Amino acid sequence: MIKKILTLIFEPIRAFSNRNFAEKLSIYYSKNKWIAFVLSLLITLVIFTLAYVLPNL
Amino acid sequence: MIEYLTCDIIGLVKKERDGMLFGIPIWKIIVDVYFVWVLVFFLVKFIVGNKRMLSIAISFLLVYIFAYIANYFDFLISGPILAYLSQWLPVLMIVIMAPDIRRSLEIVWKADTRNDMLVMGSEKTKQCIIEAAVFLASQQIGALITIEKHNTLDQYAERAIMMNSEVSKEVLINIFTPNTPLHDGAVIIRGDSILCAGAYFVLSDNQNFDKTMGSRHRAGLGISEITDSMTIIVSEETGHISIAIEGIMLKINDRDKLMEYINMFMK
Repeated sequence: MIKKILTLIFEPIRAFSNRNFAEKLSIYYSKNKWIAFVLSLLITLVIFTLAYVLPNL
Repeated sequence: MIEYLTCDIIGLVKKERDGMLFGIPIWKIIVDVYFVWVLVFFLVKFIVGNKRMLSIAISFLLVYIFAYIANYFDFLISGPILAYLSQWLPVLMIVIMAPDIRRSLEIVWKADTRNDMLVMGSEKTKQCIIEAAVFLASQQIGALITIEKHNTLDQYAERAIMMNSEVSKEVLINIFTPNTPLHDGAVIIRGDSILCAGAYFVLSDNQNFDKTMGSRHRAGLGISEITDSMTIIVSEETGHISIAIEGIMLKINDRDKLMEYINMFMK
């Protein structure tokens, strides 16, 4: 536990990479192809909000 | 604040009636959002489909988050450094990932021919692979057998000789017999069938391995670094069997150990 905390403090990027997010995400995407649609829709909605909604509030 | 928001919303509804939203024709916004969605979808598919690209994208995302925090709190030193770094990251990504980008762009328009349901090989397939590997090792015949899992290997199969034949010890031995047209590349196994033979993979540039390691081993290691496949490699110099999985190379001493790894992988 202490080792994990120390890694998180001294090497945050490595601590995240050790969790193997890329591997898990890639496998999840291979099993559920629809995730690309949902993810892109969410990102588009965020861009839409930033570009159109917020400046007009 | 609530009054302002209410006024805004009422104003928007009134504008909407005239075919306008935020003072812009609605059709323009719809087309604009559609274009953005198409581009984002292309990008997401492109990044998520490639393990190496995804890991770099996650690292970059972390840098962007740090840059945002530094900018938000107006940090004196890290703020400008991270801002400068985040400006150059897209260029850096293109330079680092040039070969992967080229390959991904080639296949992004092609339909994925693989069935969405993952089907791993049967007991008979496992036995055939093991018997073929052991026989080839005993005869010191080099071999490279890649077993596909979740990540598709279509992009490699397309450039190889398509076979779509049932896995059998005899076929595998015949493919790797020296001085035959297919013996030099890799065999890709999908489920219970040999998808193709004579496939070529990108060689690993991992510096932690022996410099004398041959190109067959480097190819096996290379494909294991970028996909979740497992590769069985038979050395023609020593007759040793190795397996490459998750970017790690393991030397296999006996048949039982090979069986154990294949069972673990193909369960």
